[in-house]
Amino acid sequence: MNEMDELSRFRARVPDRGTARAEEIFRTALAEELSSERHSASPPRHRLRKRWPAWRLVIAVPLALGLAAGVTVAVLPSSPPVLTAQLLADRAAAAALNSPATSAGQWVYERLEDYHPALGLRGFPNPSFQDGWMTADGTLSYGAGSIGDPIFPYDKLDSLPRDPAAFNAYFVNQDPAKTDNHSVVDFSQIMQMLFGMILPPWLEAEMYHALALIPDVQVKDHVKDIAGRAGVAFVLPPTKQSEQLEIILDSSDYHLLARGSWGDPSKPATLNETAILTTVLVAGLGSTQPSTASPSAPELAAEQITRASQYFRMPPVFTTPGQWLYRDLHSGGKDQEIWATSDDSEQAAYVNGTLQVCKRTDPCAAAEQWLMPAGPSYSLVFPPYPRSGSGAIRNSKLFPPGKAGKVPVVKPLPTLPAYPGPLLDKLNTYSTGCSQVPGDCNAVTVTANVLTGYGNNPGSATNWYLALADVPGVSVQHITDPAGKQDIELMFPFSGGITGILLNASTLHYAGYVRDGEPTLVLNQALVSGPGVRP
Amino acid sequence: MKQSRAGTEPNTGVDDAAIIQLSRHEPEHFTVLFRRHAPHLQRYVVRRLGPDAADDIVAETFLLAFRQRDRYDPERTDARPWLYGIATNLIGRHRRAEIRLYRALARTGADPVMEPFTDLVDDRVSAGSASRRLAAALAALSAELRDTLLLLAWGDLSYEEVATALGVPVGTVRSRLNRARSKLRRTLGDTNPAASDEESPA
Repeated sequence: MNEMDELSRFRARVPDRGTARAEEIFRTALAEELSSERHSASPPRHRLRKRWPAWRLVIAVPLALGLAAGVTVAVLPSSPPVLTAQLLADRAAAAALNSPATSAGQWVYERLEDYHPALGLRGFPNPSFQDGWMTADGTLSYGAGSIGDPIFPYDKLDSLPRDPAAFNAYFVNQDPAKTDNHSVVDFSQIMQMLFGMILPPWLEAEMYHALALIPDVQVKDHVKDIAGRAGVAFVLPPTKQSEQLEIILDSSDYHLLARGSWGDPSKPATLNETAILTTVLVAGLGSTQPSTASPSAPELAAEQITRASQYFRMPPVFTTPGQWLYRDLHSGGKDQEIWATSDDSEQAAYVNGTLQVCKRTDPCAAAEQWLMPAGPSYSLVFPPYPRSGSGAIRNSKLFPPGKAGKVPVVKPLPTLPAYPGPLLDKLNTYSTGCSQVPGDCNAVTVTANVLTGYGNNPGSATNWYLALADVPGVSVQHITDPAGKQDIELMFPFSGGITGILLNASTLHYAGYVRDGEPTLVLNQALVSGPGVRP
Repeated sequence: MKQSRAGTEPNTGVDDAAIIQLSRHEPEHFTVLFRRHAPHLQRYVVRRLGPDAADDIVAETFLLAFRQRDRYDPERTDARPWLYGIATNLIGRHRRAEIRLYRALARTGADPVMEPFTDLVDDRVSAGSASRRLAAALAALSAELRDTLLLLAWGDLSYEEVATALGVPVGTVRSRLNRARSKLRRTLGDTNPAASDEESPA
């Protein structure tokens, strides 16, 4: 064996312990950084989906422990009638079945309180609070909250076994680590699904029944969660494979309160806990007002468009402000070729066979029909990430003092509001020549301008469609456009100006707009090396 | 459970450079990069410094990378050399600790890096004499030779990728590797001459 073989065997047996703890530290530091940097009041702009530290629950190393798997449902002597796991499961399941079912696309607002001793040691706030919005079908999520990060695919929930015992066996079979402590597998899986997802009532009820069937599960009465609320808990005592796990339910109506894990139940400092302070159906992203109304057709269309533009459903094409773009615009039966930089600071077109290039600062600009005649500046829509400066970062284990404590610090740049309501209000302040200012006509025109006139990076500004869905009187139509393509049209009840925004019905890419009854279609758009160059 | 999670990650087929670009406007996308590269990086750091330091170093690597993401060269579709380069700098802050760990193993035969896992790993046997000599040799290497050698052997980077990670020419990587290997061979060969028979340096 040579020295390289020897080296590759050296410490090669390090078990794969997972990166959940590193990820938690990273996400927390990132969240800190983004929230201090963006200094926008509330709510948070960025998704800081928080994941329950799975490494605490199931360590993915097969062990030969041979645990005695006797059914030991502990009974606490404190209060008559005696609370058993079975009784608690029955009550919690009944409560779950009485909760309202959600409809697809409906928004949920969640507020969490998080307590992690490790974060306190690192100088981060402890407990910390997080707000988040997500659709009940799990397809969109914004802001904090574990709900945005499903542990199990939403579209497969219906295929889960509808029998609690089979349900537990299913998860044991699915466990890639083949952990031989099946109680840990089932308890942690159920815990993560209950707290990480919006589940249909039948499934939530089944999960409580399944919890009661897990060997070793106990119940604990008279507990308090970190928010100080009185509860009762399903408890899985600590084993070699996991810490003590707890699912705390409200002691009066049995709705979910919190989940916890104790490294050592005799030591309070080893408690990690996440409490759900609020879970409520709301009217839309950014709203905290309870509403059980089903989403409107424009809202559902906007969500569909948003989903399509997130997660790289299309190959990303990134532009920088000075990047030249070619466009083929079709309007009134004619095609027009226009070249423009992404920020529309420069435009070019062939006039009588001669390429004419014009900058906004040139005298020719007055005669030019700009693609982006009015609205927010490019940098406001797509703020460049701040260049790094230098400064000291807090003294903590993650950022130790001394030379290592000098880490680049970034300054916030102005940007547009992230949530639909405030965004719509802001866009409506730009003057676009609309006569119907109260009806959000300016906002609609600005949106069409930005979509047509700027080089739009995919994944950016996706919330604009959710904002359009909030315009009073908006409706959705399926049309065949003048180029023969099937489009979805968001129609606005204005008497003039821009009354429609068009999207390709199959790709959901922006396709054009309707102004004064006349559609303008973006037939082709491509990055090119300079003005006059065709793709 | 990992298996059921698999379908929930946006499986993008999009290269690292595109994700980094996208994260300039939508910072949350940077976590895709974390999910993609943290597991392997974590293993690498654990092998050098043990599990406790590894969590912090992996987290900080991605945080520093996040802060530098607007300077990332979009031509580089694979971010691993960049990330391992950042991690190498962070590991460098713990140079003495790393050497202490190698020396402890060389001296006692018990590996402090493996210690936290002993209830998980079936064999608690002390390291063989080859491992102890290897540990002594690793402790004796200069930081730059050790970084080069371990990025190749444990980080699974190519010569070119190590060169990018460390910001040196490929030729330097080759010559450092040769020097590191001959030092290891000498130490291992002290009591096991058969070990240094074949193999001219790559």
